[in-house]
Amino acid sequence: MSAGITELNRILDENFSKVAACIEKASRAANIHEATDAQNLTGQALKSLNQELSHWHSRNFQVMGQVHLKIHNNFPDSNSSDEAKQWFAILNRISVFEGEVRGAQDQLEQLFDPADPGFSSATGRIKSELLGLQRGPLQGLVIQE
Amino acid sequence: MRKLICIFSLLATSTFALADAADELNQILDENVPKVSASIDKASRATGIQDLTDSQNLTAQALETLKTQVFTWLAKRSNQEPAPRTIAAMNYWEVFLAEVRGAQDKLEYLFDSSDPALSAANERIRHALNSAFFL
Repeated sequence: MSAGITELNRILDENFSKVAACIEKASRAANIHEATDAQNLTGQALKSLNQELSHWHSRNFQVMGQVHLKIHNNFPDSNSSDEAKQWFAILNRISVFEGEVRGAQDQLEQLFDPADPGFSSATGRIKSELLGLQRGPLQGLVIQE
Repeated sequence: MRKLICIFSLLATSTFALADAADELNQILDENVPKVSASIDKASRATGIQDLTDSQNLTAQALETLKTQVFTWLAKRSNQEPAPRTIAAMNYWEVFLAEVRGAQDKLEYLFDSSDPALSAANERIRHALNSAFFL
């Protein structure tokens, strides 16, 4: 595995854990104020993740260029390089994580009042960061054929 | 005086019982949630259908085990008024289930397949999720 991809997986490991801890804190909140504080932390953690991915991209894009990925029956073609398979896994990891956080947000909005201005604003920032993650710079690195 | 001691004793017993309920549920969640999360992470990194199906079966198994333990815990505590820490743990359980559902939605979208073994594993996860909500 290249040093760049190892570093990228480390960024994902560390930041996914931080976001998960904030979501757990929000889910255990005793009132809307505690929930809002935790939601703000989740938003910040997601923002940091997006920033780190963006920095990684600007450091590595010139070196690695774009990766061509041929998909057959939902998975990389048997002739795909190891690098292409690793990229496939990284993009799916990010996508599934985004789905997890979105699912948690739906439930948190049921537990706490989604109309509360502070809570709503914090949740809005989380969703905006999730969109950023979904459309992040890494998506442009892989060309699916 | 003896009556007062008796009341304090009852209150203390009740408080400890409620604290035990929260601790017990937290222990179940602490032990099992990472197992479910790890198998979802493994599924999200799959580069072939066999890897994915194996991981989905592991998720289903881990989720079924967790659900059984939570329901056993709930059956023992059903006549107790939950303490705030217990409510917090129950909320965490529901948010965790929603996380798994969000991940499962995404996995089924990414790997849309009619493969029978994968479909069976997905179905096990869906069934465990649907029956675990709304405690």
